[in-house]
Formats: sequence, C-alpha cells, structure tokens
Amino acid sequence: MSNPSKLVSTRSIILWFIGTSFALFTSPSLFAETSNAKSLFSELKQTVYQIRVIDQGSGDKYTIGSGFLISDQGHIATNFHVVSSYIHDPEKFRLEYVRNDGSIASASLINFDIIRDLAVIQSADKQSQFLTINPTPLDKGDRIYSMGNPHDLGMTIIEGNYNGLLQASRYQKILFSGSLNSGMSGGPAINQDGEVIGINVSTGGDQISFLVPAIYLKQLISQPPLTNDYQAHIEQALLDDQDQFYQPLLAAPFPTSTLGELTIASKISDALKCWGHSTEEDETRYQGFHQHCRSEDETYIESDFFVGDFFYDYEWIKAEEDLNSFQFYSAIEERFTHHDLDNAYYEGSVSNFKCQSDFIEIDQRSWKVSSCFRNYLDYPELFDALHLMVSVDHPEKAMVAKIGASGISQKNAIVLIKRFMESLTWNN
Amino acid sequence: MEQLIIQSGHKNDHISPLFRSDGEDITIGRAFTNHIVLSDQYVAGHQARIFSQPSEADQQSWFIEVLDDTNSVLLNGTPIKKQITPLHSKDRLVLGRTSLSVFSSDHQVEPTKILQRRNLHQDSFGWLMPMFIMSMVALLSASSEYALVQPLESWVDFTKETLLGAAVILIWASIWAVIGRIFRHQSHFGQQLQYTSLVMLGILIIDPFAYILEFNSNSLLLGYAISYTVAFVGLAVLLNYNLSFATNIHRTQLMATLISGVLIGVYGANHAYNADEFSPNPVYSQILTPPATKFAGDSTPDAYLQSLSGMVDEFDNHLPKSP
Repeated sequence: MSNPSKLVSTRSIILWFIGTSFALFTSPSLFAETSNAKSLFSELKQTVYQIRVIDQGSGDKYTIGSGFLISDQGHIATNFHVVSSYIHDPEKFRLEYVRNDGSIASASLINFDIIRDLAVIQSADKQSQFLTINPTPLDKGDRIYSMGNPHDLGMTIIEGNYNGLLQASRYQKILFSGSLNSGMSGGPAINQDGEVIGINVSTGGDQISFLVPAIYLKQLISQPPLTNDYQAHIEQALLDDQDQFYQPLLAAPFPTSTLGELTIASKISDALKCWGHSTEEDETRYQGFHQHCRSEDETYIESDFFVGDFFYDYEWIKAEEDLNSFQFYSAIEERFTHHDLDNAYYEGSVSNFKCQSDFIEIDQRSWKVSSCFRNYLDYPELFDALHLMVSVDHPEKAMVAKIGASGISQKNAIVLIKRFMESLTWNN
Repeated sequence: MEQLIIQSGHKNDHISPLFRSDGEDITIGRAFTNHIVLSDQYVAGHQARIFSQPSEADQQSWFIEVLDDTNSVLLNGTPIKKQITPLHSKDRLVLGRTSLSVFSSDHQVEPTKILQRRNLHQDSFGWLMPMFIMSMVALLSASSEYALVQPLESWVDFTKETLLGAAVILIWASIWAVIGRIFRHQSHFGQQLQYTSLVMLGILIIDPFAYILEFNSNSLLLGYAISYTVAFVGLAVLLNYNLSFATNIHRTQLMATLISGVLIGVYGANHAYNADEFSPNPVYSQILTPPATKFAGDSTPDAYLQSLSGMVDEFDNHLPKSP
C-alpha cells in the first residue's frame, strides 16, 4: 500500500506549489486577506464555542472539539465524532460548551448524522447573533477561513483555499487547503462574508483538510429531534448508507477488464481509487501483477471502530522457469491471506471472525475459496466480510483474488461475493 | 524341599542383597549377631525371627515371630504384634523403615519375554550403519525442504540445513545413550542413532501427505488434528525405542505413549490457553499444494454461497429482532 501514500504526498506538493504561487502573485492583496481574517474573527468569535464531553466519574473533560451557533434557538452545530462518546454512553458522560469569555454551560443532544459526521446540540444561548449557512458552491481557489480551538490552545482562525469537492469518494467532502488540527473538529468554515460553507471534519496531512459541505447541516437541522435510542438510529443510518452504496453496484454484473490470462472486475464505482503494480524479484522467483481498488472513505463510529472500508484486489502470479509446482504453491501460500480490514481491534465492537473454506468450480476451472465474516455487537444487522480465492488448477500460474467490505449487510455481502466470483473467468 | 529367600525392597527383579535359608532360622535386627543385619535406627537389635515348622502333608511352613514391639512390624501393610504369624511367598515385610520381600524357592516366575531382534541388543551393534542412515535422513530432510518449499539458493545453505538436521538427531541419540549408560551401564548409541533416524524418516515421509490432506479437506481443524496426531504417534514410537534401549522399564510401550501424550497434551493445552479469546484477524487453512495433489471435488458457487449465508445466520448476535 505504498502507492496511495506516495500519491498523497505528490498531491500535497502540487497543492503547496499552487498555494505558494498564488501567494506570490497576489501578494498585494495579502494584507487585505489578513485584515479580513482579523475582522471576521472579532466579529464571529462570540458564536464559536469549544465543545466538551465530560466524564461524569472524574468530572473532567474526556474529549474536546469545536462548535458554532446556527440559530437564535441556541442550536450548536459540531461533529458527530466530537460528541460520539456521549452518544454511545449517555449515562457515563455529559455535554458542555465553553463560550469565548471562558464561561461554561451544559448542553443536550438534539440530532446527529453519523454518515456525514455531524451533530446538533442545544445550548442555553438564545441570542440574536449566530452564523448563517450558505450551501452555494464556491470557485476553486476562493479564500475561506476556518475557526476552532486546536489542542485546547484557545480559539483560532486559519485561512486557506476552497478546492472543490473530493473526486473519488463515496461522500461529498470539500477539500480545504489549510491546516486543520485536532480540537478544531466541528468548527465552522466560512466564506469572505462570514457565512458557513462547511464544517471542519478531518485532515489528510500537510495542508490537506476536509470539510463537510454545509448543505448536510441544513438537512440535519430540518429534521425532528431524536428520541433516546441512539444505537438504533446509528444502525439504521449505517444500513441505509451501505444499501445506497452497494445496491446500484450489485444490480448488474461487474464491468470487466483483463489481467494475465483472466477476466477481472474493473473499476466498479467512481468512488473507488484503483492502482496497479508488478513485482519481479529474484528472491520470490515469480512475477506478480497487481490490480487493486478501494474506497478511502471511513465512517467514524468510535475512536477504535470505523466502517466503510471496501476493497478488491487481484494478483496474477507466474512462476519463473526454475520453480517446480510444489515450490510455486508453497510460495503463493504467502499470498493466500485475507486483507487486514484495520477497522476494529477490540472485542467490545465486533465478534470473532467465522470462516468457511471450500473448492468451487467457476466456468470449468477450480478455485480454493475462503470467506470470513464477523458481526457488529451493537449493530447486529451489520458485518465485516472478507472473501479470498486462488485458482488451483495450473502448476505454474495462479490468480489470487480478494474482496472485502466493512459495515455491510448479510444480503449485500453475499451478492457482492457472488458478483465478484462470476466476474472472474479464465480467458481460454 | 524349597528354600526361603529374602530380598531387599519390594521389587521382583531387585535381587541383591539376598538371604537364602534351607530350613534354619533367620534372625533380623540391628545387632551384628543377626543373619540379616539392618542398619536402620528404627529397627530393634533383635527385631524378628523367621523359622520353619513341618505342617501336614509333609509340607514345610514358614513363620515370623516379632521379638520387639518398640515399632510395629508390617506384614503386607498390616501391623503384626508379638505373635507367631505364617509367611507366604511374595509377602512384604516392613521393619522400621526397611522393606523386605519373602519368596519361596518354588515361586513361579513370569514367562520369559521374547527379545525382538537379538542383534539390536548386542554391544557389538556398530555405528557405521546408523551413521549412514542418519546422514541419509539429514540429507533427505534438507532436500525435501528445498524440493517442496523453496528452491535451493546456495549449496552452503543446503549444507547448513543438512548439518542442522544431523545435529538434532545426534544430540537426541546422545542424550539417550547417556541415559542408557546410567540405567543399564550400556549406551546403545548405535541403536539410539539408528532408530531416532528411522522415526525422523517416517515423519519426513508423512509430512507432505498431512499437508495434502489438509489442503483437500479445507479444514483447519483437521489440519490441527493431523499435526497433533503425527507428533503424538511419532514421539510415542521414538520414545518406545529410546526407553527400551536405555532403561529396564517393564512396559516401555505404555510408558512411551503416556509420556508422549502428556508432552503433546501440555503443548496443546498451553497453546489453547495462551490463544486470545478475541482475534482481530480471521483464522482459516492457508495450505496450498499443486493441482496434481488435489483430489477433493468442487462445489458450485451457488451451493457455496448458500452455505456461507447459513454460517452468517449462526452468529449469536444476529438473531431476528423481537417486535
């Protein structure tokens, strides 16, 4: 998986270059921008708060983030992940917010959108000054500002550029070329006029930050307040979201392309990123040709539990001349491994994997297959599913293919594996 | 007329020291005037007297008379007082802390055990053949590693692998030779070497078949079962040979099976105990062997998916929600 990270760094260098040249060519206006940041900060600082989840036992803060007033009713917008520990365990935690003058008050939860990572909480501050939401898209390169309280250091404002919506992604997110830091999550990203265009949510490294488009916040506040069954609400949202992603994909056979002597699934969704590479090392004595696609979107559930990972991976392997059939299969044993989903490590969130292995025949060719599933303990309709297969009828050539998804329903997972298997055929 | 024989200890084959009487009295005690002098501070100077008296049918009977009751004398575990008590062949006596056995000279001994392959137990069993077999097994072990797992990179590696295999067999055989030297005053090194090598050869031959079986069964459980069985049987057979050459244990087969069972059992239990209850990674059979070794049939994708769906249905947590 060295390629994606390589690309990210290439992209950040390019973005840095764009940013620098922009600064050089527009240096006369730099002062104006800075003074705008200054005036925006002094104008809006009353509406941006620090949000705290307080551990009831110790009485001290457990997690922190930022939030901002969005109505004269005292509604504060923030991220789901800022208040998630409270949502998962309302008995153990409570919500608090800190105003710009340092005064503290308690808040309650109104609604949240786990997929978009948004939450709305109720404060006591029914004041006339609040931030207005403007979901109109901006132009690439437009200067935008983000406010928040990084690392509990105090309220700050940073500036950067709006760089459009992410291209290959399951969810719409704004690429913000500025440096968000932890603690700023849930803070507002505003345009030159001081209107909210997005909500700070995450970062992808140097100067790469992501914002939730303001339209989703608008949708969330238009919904009625939630009742107390937060876990059921989360499960339903996750189920609906995976249906929305997988059902169009699974409605028809996968589009295909060729790798080695086989037909394989090509890029089956625009939300995926696909890569290829080949290996030819003296040590291994076989040639490997890889193609893999994955979605880089994750939905945050808890600090050690994410869902949304989806990938498939093909490796066409050919033995070099001096490798006998035993040696060849012994070598590809090391490739016959399930993908590491990397989304949950603790027994509190998922069950153990259960696996099934067998030989199957597809198009008169033999494959060894292994499928493993694990169940989410709090969301019993959802699973992590892994499927692995290797052709076993040629003495010196083999295809190792794998597919997997986290946070998928049983029905979608079974159809996904079916589609995957039927798209994989030898070309002779 | 039969004689009375007194042995030290309670074991039939423990023959020395020994006292033999044709009918005359045997006195036992710590004093030097006794026939059997016991250096045991819990035994009286004159502790007991064993004597014979003619009984009916012209038979001679033996009796014991306890002469001192400071400490009780046990006959087959039961204390006998200052009284005259009849003795029988194979009776056990405990005086103070000393154990003695009483035998009649016409006591039937167990049938002679047949010594399998006489030459194996001879001191003249040479080293040449065992060394040759050991070298061949070590060579085969290294060769199969390279032929079945990874191609040979260099002859130096091959030599190292061979020497390592030979060293393992040599060390094992040497340990048993030392044990033999202690228990039987004979090392039987040649025999230990030869049989250790042959058992290794057996395991070496079975191993690929175990892999092929696991590959075809698609079952990790069967894979474990085969590995543990091969280890258990292999070790039991090996220990049986090792013990029979190095010790005088009566039931070497039972002993070898027990030791192997305990060792493999402890290993397995330790493995199971230390395995984490929760694992973030799936556990499945990863074995792959060439198409020529595949004899299992194929299912259809639909049948596979149906049974997969059945497996998913069985998650404890994944029950239909109550209304």
